[in-house]
Amino acid sequence: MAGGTVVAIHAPDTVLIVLIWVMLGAFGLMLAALAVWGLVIWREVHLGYTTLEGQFRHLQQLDPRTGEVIRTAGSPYPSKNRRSRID
Amino acid sequence: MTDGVVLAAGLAFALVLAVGLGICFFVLKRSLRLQLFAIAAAFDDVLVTPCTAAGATFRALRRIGRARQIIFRRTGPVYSLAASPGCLRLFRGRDSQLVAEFEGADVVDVRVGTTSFGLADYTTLFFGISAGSTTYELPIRVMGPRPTPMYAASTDWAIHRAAAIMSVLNG
Repeated sequence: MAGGTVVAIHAPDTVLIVLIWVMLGAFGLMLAALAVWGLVIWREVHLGYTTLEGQFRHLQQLDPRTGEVIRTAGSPYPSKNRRSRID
Repeated sequence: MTDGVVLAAGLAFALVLAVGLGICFFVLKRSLRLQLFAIAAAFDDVLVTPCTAAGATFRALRRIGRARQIIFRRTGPVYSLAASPGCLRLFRGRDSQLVAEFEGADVVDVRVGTTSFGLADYTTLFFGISAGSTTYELPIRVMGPRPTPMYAASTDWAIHRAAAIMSVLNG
């Protein structure tokens, strides 16, 4: 009877600890993903191009799949951009 | 610690925070007003737009500076964008120190969009600045129509202001 009570008291603690570790793990994975993403962007910029939409106007924009030039360096972003431009 | 003490500590903290933010806001507002007066006194026919700092602006100025082999100063938390015939300048501080200067011919175009900080979106003018062999984009977070810090301009107002700036620049 007493043993059953002990299990009932300690079970929530175990669950809580596991949950905390899962959250910490997820947070760590998120940080790692952000770091990798930043590294990919840095590498592209370092090589003189970008595959990002609407960023780094001074670099040429390449298609991320085919590698074709979508926009030459310095030219305005493609018309898909929702922002208006005034020349 | 009793509930009353916790509540009092919480209220005191909130009060100190509110007073601190209020003082910061007042100082920035006063600084911006003095900056606008100093620019208006120093230049004729100038269209001044109050702006607020952004990391993207700093990075863009650093890129443009690298292309032109000059180092631009930091803008500070609030600064002004002054357009006069043939010249676009950025000023900072109460005595309107020059941060950056671009010839009208180097300002290729401008578009209106937003830049984000956390969950907040700020109306931003993106100026195309020609430097070296390419065109860089210079994002400027604008405030308006009143020169009040942390009061982001509406998109409609920013579109009109962008057109006015280009009109003044092109003489």
